[in-house]
Amino acid sequence: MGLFYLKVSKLELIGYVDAGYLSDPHHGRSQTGYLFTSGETTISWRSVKQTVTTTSSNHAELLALHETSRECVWLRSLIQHKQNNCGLSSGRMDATIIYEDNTTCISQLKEGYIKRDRTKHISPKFFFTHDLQKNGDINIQQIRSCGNLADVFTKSPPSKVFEKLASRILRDICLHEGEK
Amino acid sequence: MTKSYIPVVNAPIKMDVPIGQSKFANKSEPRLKRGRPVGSKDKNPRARKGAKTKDGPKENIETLKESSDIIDISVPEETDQVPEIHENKEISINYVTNGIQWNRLEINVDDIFAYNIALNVINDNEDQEPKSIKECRQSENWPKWKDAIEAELNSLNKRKVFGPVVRTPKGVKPIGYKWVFVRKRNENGEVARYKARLVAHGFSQRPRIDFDETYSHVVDAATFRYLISLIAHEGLNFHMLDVVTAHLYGSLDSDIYMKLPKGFNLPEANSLGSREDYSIKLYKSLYGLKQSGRMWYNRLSEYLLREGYKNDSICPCIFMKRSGNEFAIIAIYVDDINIIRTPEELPKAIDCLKKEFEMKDLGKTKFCLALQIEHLNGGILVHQEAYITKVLKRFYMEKSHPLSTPMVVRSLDVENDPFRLREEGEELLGPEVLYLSAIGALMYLANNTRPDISFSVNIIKI
Repeated sequence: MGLFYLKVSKLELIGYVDAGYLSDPHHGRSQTGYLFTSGETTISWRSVKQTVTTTSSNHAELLALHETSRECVWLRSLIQHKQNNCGLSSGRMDATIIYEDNTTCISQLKEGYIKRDRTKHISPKFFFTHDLQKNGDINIQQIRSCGNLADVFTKSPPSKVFEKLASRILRDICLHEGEK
Repeated sequence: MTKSYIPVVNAPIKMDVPIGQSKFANKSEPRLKRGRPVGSKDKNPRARKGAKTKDGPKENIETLKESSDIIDISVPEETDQVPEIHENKEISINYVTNGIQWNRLEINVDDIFAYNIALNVINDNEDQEPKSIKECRQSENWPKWKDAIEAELNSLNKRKVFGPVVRTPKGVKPIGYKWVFVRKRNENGEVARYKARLVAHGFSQRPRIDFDETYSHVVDAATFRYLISLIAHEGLNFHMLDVVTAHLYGSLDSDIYMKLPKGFNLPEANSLGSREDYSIKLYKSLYGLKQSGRMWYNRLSEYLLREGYKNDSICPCIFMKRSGNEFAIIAIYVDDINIIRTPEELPKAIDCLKKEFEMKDLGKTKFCLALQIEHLNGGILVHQEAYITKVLKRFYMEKSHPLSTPMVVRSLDVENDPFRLREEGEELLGPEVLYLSAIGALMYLANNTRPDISFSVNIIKI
C-alpha cells in the first residue's frame, strides 16, 4: 500500500480542506486537516490540532482554510519555479482549486471580512485566503463532505466511509505475485 | 533571623536556628548526598536537555585516562548533582546500545523526533556492530574490517584531509576521534559492504570558536513527492548517485586540530615531549564535525552554480539546468543525489558531477530516504513496506493478527472522553513502555507515505 503516481494527462494541483470542531474538548481546540494532490495523487497533507480556541465550526473552518492557503502558496511557488526553469510551462499557473464543505465559509471568503455579530471576534488576518482568491491564486469550491478527502484528517469516520476515502488517497497494489 | 514583618497569622510554623549553630551547614566532612552513600555514582547523571546518554560521560573519562600518562587525573566526583527522579521517564528503543532515556515532559514530539526514531528503527540490527578496532580484531570478519579501515585511510589521504602534525598551539583544545564500523545493507537487509569511518568528536566543539553555522539543506518530503509526480507525468528518468566520502570534500572555515590518531607518527625532528603535546590540523571537514554537512553542501552548490545550474531559495537543495527542450533536476539529500532528467541530459549531468567528485552510480532510484520506489507500468509507487515490517518487529507486533479497528472517537463529554487529561492517582507508563518511540515511528510513516493514519497518530501523540 502506498502512494501511486500515475501517468496522467494533466498535472494539476488540487486541495481539500476540512476542520473538526472541538476535536479536543479539554482545551477547546479543533483539528485542521488538508490534503493536496498533484496529478490525482497525494503530495502533501497534514492533520494538526489548531493552536487557538475557536468558537464555532465556521471559525474552525476559516482557520483550517488559512492554514491550507499558506501551504498552497508554497506549493504553487515550488511548482511554478520548477516548471518555468525546466521549460515545461511558462507564465502564470491557473488558480488552484481548493475543495471545502462549509458553504458559509465559501461565501464569507468571496465577500471578504464583514463585521457581523457572528464573526466580529474573528481576526481579519484569517481572511488572507480572500485576498488570494481575489488575486486568482486559489479558487474555493464547494464539495460534499462525503467526497472531501480531507475528512479523514479531522475525524474518525465509520469504517465504510474511511475505506472509501482512503482508497482515493492511497492505492493498494500487489507487488509480489501470488500474494493477495 | 526572625522575619518580623510577616504577620503572625500567616507565618509558617518554623524554628529559627541562630547563625553558627547549624549542625549541618558548617560540617566539612563528606556527608550523605540525599540518602546515598558517599562516593556512590549517580545512576542517572543529569543532562542538559531531553536526551541523556549513558556512553557520553563514560567515554570522556576514557579519553581522559588515555592522555593521563603525565598528569594523574582522577575522575571528578559528582558532588553538585542532585539525583533526579522522573516519573515520566522512558527508555529509547535502542536503549541497550545507546542508553538514551527521555523525559516524556521535555521531549518535543515533532518531525525531527520522528525522523530520529525512524533512523533508529531502520538501523536496528540483530547483531551489533563492533565499537572499536579491538573488537574488530576479535570478530571473525577481521580481514573485511581491515580492508575497510585501509580503504578509509586511503580516501582520507586522497582528499588531503590531514594537514601537518604540529605541536598543539596554546589555548587550542584538540578534538577527539573515534572509529565507527557499520555493515551497509541493501534493501533486502543483506550485508552489502563493510564500512569503517574515522569520525571526529563533534560534541567537544565549542560554538562560535570551532564552528559557526551548521545548518544544511535537505529536500522536503512534499517537494520530493511532487518531483515523483512530475516524473510519472512527464515520463522522465530517475537516477541516483552516491557520493563517496561526501563530507571530506568540504573545506573548513575555521582552524580545527584533532588528537593524533593511533598509527600516525610524530615528526622525527622534534620528538620532544610526548604524543599528547601534538595534534593534527584538519584541512577538510571530517565526518562528525558539526559543520561538515554544511561545508559539503556549500562545496557542491558552488560547483553546480558554476556549471550553470540554477537554484532558488524556495527549495535550496534543488538545482536545475535547461538547454532547449532538455533539462535536468538535481535533488540533494546530503550525500544522496537524485537526478531527474530527460533522456538526452543524462550523460551530461552525470559526467558533470563525476568530473569533480568521486561517485557511485546506483542506477534507477529504488530506495531513497527509507522510501521504496517501484517503477511500474502505469506509474511510480512509493511505499514503505520494509520500514513497516521493521517497526512491527521492533515493537513485537509482527505476529499479531491484523484487525480493522476504527480510531476511538473522542467524546464532547469531558468526563467520559477516552483521551481526557490525567487524573490524580492514575498510573503512569513505566520506562519500559516504548510509547514515545512508537509514536515517533508511526509519525514518520504518517508523514511519508501513509496519510490515512495521520489523524489517528495526531490524536494519540498528545
